[in-house]
Order: sequence, then structure tokens, then C-alpha cells
Amino acid sequence: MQHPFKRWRIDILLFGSFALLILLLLAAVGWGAFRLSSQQLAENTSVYQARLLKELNQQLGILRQSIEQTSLSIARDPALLEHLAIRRDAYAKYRSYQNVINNLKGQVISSSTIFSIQIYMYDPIVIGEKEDIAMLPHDRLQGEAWYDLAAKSDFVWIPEREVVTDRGRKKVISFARKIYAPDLAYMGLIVINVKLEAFESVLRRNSEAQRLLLDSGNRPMTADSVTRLTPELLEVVRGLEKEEGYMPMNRGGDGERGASSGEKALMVWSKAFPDGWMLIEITPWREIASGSWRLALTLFMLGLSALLPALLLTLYLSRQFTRPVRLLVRSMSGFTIHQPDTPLPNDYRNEFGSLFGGFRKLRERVDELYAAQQAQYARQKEAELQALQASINPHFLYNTLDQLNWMAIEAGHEMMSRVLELMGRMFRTTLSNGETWITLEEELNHTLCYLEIQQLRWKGELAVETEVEPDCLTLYVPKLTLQPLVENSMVHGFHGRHSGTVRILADVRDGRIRLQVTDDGVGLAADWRERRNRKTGGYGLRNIEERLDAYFGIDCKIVAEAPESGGTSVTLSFPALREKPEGGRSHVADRDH
Amino acid sequence: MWRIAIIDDDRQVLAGMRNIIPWGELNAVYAGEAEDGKQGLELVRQANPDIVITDIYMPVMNGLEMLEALRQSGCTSRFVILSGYSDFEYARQALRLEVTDYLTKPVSIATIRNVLRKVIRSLEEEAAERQEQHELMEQVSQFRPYLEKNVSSRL
Repeated sequence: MQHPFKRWRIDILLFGSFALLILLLLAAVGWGAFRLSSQQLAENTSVYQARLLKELNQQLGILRQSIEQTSLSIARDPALLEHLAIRRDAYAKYRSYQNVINNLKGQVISSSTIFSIQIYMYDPIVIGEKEDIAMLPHDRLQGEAWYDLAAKSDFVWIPEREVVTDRGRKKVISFARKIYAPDLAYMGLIVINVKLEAFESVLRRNSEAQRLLLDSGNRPMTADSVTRLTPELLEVVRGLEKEEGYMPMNRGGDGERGASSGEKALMVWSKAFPDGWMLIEITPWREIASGSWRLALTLFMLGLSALLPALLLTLYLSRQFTRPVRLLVRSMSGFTIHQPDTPLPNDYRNEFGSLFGGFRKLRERVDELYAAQQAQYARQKEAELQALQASINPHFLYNTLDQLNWMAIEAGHEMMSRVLELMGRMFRTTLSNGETWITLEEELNHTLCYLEIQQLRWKGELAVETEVEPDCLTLYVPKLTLQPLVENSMVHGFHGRHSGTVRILADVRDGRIRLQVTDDGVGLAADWRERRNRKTGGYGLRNIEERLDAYFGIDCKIVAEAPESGGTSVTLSFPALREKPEGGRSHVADRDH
Repeated sequence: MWRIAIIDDDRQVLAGMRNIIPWGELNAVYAGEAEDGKQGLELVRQANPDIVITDIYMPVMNGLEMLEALRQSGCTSRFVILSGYSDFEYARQALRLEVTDYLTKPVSIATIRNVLRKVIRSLEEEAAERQEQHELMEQVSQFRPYLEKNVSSRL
């Protein structure tokens, strides 16, 4: 492909490249702003989130500690221990039961976070499964889903589950603690069911962000956490060492890390100090970037609205720059000889001005050269014509005529001698030193010479009448205007005849000369005008017509008519010239005007 | 008798011319011929003809040079010039040298005869005039003694 700067129009190039440049700049600024601001936002977000998470985690820690404290104080309560220790004395057990229940009820009522308390014990006196304070037989423990957890340690947090009491179902996170007698004998297990709301009110604070709560063993503690903890995330979480921090990650999907599958997100985490519970917040990148995306979009839109005037300006500028070039190109492509020039503005003073000036000068020069060339061509044509005339070699012609004449004289042919003499005179007029204009007298003499030759041929059967105003004789006429008319009469008018009359009339009226040749021959053929246009025949008249047209334009008139008396009458009429015209054309030479 | 000389470098012309001139009718005699300007000059000086018919374009000396030389030496002969195609420019010069007629070649018999008749008529008129003048002078001289006597007696 060709270089575009050599191929496309300049205004398109100028405008296009400017527009492209501006657009690219705009896009670059928008993209940069988006990148930078989203980076910044991510940092700000993570710092803010980390701080928030730490705080929330602390609050959760306080909640846990208070529950753990409560459970400890319950587990060390002498009344409870006593109640658990009673095995056989049902009355005593029942009495202490009421006491313990009341005591524990007071605990539940006074706490806003505790939903219920379950105690797994040996030989419970009342099995109140749906009570707020439920005493349950110890062997039921094996049936619980969280048994494994509880069995391994003295106390443990149990992830979100559902408990049913008389008050209804409730989602809870529970704390289980084994109860030991002062002599370290195992007495049972106390489970404090903490309302899930207590955790969630903290977890959901300030945002709808996805937060995960994991215990020190990286176990998800809420149902939401379970669903949110993908194996991938678990892997990441296990690798975490710092107490708090943030990192970008790919969420969801089951591909490898960093693979394109899954959504980009920011993970911020915070570990609580003593117990190692971890709070994780995951923010989709989309949300972080939305602000900066808006910013970039706003910037881009602003840029676009600025782009419009900029483009208009560019268009205007490129037009201003290319307008003179276009003008010049138009002027150059429209440049032809004889056509009026396409005007170029004169008010440019800079490089365009010099270009215009240069072209204008060039144009004038070309015109001059063309005119000179044309003049030279005309001169050359004339010279060629003269050379042609000269090549007839008048010397030879006249010498030969003269010799013929003497030969005729020697042989006693007087008539032939006369014909040769007349011919000699006619040739003199015809050649006449290359003159175009001769006086009517000369033309008339020439014609009469011709007619005399014809008379000699016809042996007196040809009558010639002339009626010429003496005034006319000195007027200038184009050479050979009269004689061809007479020749026409002889050749066409008297075709097939042996007698006839030719009448030559010349007068001058209102500054116009009138030449008329009338014969009493066969008259005009019906289709003479059509025939005249053909190559053959009527050459004389057409030749005169063309020459007069060239000399006088519309000022000349040629009328051929057939008078009722028979024969043909041809009348020429053109301006009377007292002076010999300069050059080949008359004063009315320019017939275009 | 009028004496006519012919000068032309073409023998055919010389012969033809001599043939077509009606000597008897014109009351003329042949005064000789020459084939170039130089010969013509001698011929005219020797024979002193009344009429000279000469060509212009001739070898050695052309007709007009010859004529000029003759005019300078006081020759009063009548000159009839025969001019070829390229001799147009000489026409003016010829007029200055008092040429009686300037004919362009080719010339028909009739033209030559007419011209010669015209020249001779003018010569005759001139001669008649001279004659008349001469007679008048003679008469005057005859009457002179008488007149002288009368006039002197009156005085």
C-alpha cells in the first residue's frame, strides 16, 4: 500500500491525524486516570477495611470472651456442680434443680446475646428439651453433629446451627464447655447458644460486603462463611501469616490461581489476637473500581465534549490550510489556453501568496509562450504557403509562357499568342507577390482577362457587360472574389451551351460594396445548396464564402438566386475598404464579438 | 522612315519581333539588333534609332543599366521595355528614365503592334509639330527683311 501521506487528501490527513491524536490522548488520560484512581481506591479501601475489620474482630472477641466468661462462671457455679453431683436423692436433686434453673434463667434473661443454655448431664431429673435451660441426658451427646469437636477439647465454639425451643427456632453459634468437679471429675457439658444476630450484627456492620468468620482452625463459623469459603480461598487463608493485611485474588471458579476464570476481587483479613479468629472481607474489584470507573467515564465524557469543539477547530484549521491548496489545484486542473482563468485570491501574503503569484506568473508566461508559438505557427504556415507558391517557380512559368508565345507567333497563331498574354496577366494577379488584398480594378482586369480568353474560345458568342461605378475601382477587395463567380457561370451556367451573356455589376452603397455577377445560363439546380456542401462541385463559391467569412464574419453577405428571367445571379456584399487592411484579416477580423 | 532597333538575348525573340512588326504600315525600317546590354549600347550610339525595343534581363549589362547610360549621354530615342516576371521592381526605375511603354511578357502580336503604332503616332505628331514650327520660323525668316525695312522706316 502506498504511503497515506502521499495518497490521501491533505485536509483529510490533517483533520484525521489531529482527531486521532486527540482521541488517543483522551483515551490515554482516561485509562491512566482509571488505573491510578482504582489503584489508589483499592489501597484506601483496603486500609479502611483492615481497620474496620480489626475493630469488628475486637468486638467479636469481646463477645466471645464474655460468653466464655459466662460459661466459665456457670461451670464453676457450686450450685450447678452440686446439682450435677446428686445422683440418688431425687428430692434433693429436684430442689437444687429449681435453684440451678432459676439461676441460669437469670443469666439468659440478663444477657441479650444468649438464646438458650443446654446442659448434658448424667441422670437429669427433668428432661426439658425445649426449655431455654435444657437439661439433657449425657448419652444424647454422641448423636449431635458437633460431638467430634466437643470431644477433643475442654471447650470449643460450634459453628452456626439451629436450635428449637418453646420460643421457636433460632440460628445460633454455640460455645461448649466441659464441666469438671473441683476434684477434676468430669460432670457434663454446658452449651451456651449465642444468637447468630449477635455475630451478624457485627459482621454486617457498615456494609453489605461479603465477610467470613473463621475460627482459629480456619473453620467457617457462619452458614454464609461456609458458602463463601471456596477451597481456593481456604488455600489462601492457610498460607496467611500476618495478623492483618490485604491482597488481590481471583474469586470463585475452580481453575488455578491467577487464571482468568473467576472474578477479580480484593481480600482483606484480620486475625484476633488471643484466639486467632479471623475476619475476612472480600470486595469484588468491580465495586472498588466502580468509583474510579465513574471518574474515568466522567473524564472521558468531558473529554468527548471538549473533543467536539476541538474537532471543529481542527476541521476549520485544516480547511484554512488546505483551501488555498485546493484553489490552486482547481486553477491548475482547470487551466486551458483561451479559457478565462479561474481567479486566485490576491490577499495571501505568505507561502500560499508566493505559490499563487508563481502560478499566476507561470500562467501568464504560458499564455505568452502560447501566443508566441501561435504567431510563429502562423508565420511558419505563411512561409510554407509562400514556399509553395514559390515552388510553382514563376520564373520558369513566365519564361515558358513567353517561349510558347514566340512559338505561337512564329507559327502564326495570333489568337494563341493573345491567350498566352492574357494568361500571363492572370498569373500576375494570382501570384501578386503574395498579397491578399488588391483593388477592385485589379480584380476586374483579372476577371476580364479570364473572360477574354473564354471569348476567344467561344469565338465571339460570349457577351460581356460591365457596369462598374468608377468610385469602386480603388476599393480593396480580397483577391479572387469576382473571377471565381464568373468562372462558375462559365463552367456551370453555360454548361452545354455555346453562347451567353455575363454581366458584372459593382457599386457602393452606405459603406458597403456590392459585387454582382449575373448570367443567362441554366440557372440554379434545385439542390445547389446541398450540393455545395459536398466536396465536389461548387468549389469556387464555397471557397469565396469561407474566405469572406474569415475576413468579415457576419459583415459579409452572399446571395445566390435565380431571377425570373432565367440564369443565375450571385451577389456579394461586404464593407467597402478604402485602405488596404493590415495582415490577412479586415477590421472586423474578430468575429466572435 | 522610322528606325527601330531590337535588343534581346533570345534569338527567337529577335527573329519573331522582326517578323511581326508591320514595317510598311508603320513606315519603319530595321535599325539593327543586339543580344545584350553592352552590344545594345554600341548599337544605339552607332545607329541612333528612333525606337528601341529592349528586354530587361540580359547577360553582361541589363536593359535598364544600358538605358541609364544612354540617357546620360543624351540619347533621345523612344524605349519600349519588355519585362519578365522578376522585373517588376524595375518598373519605377524605368518610369524615371522616361520609358515610353512598359510591357510585361508574354506579349501578343496585337499588343506589340498597338504599342508601336502609338509610339510612331506620337513620333509623327512630334515631327509634325517640329515641322510646323520649322515652317513658321522659315516664314518669319522670309518676311524678316521686309519687316525690318518697314519697322526701321517707321522709326
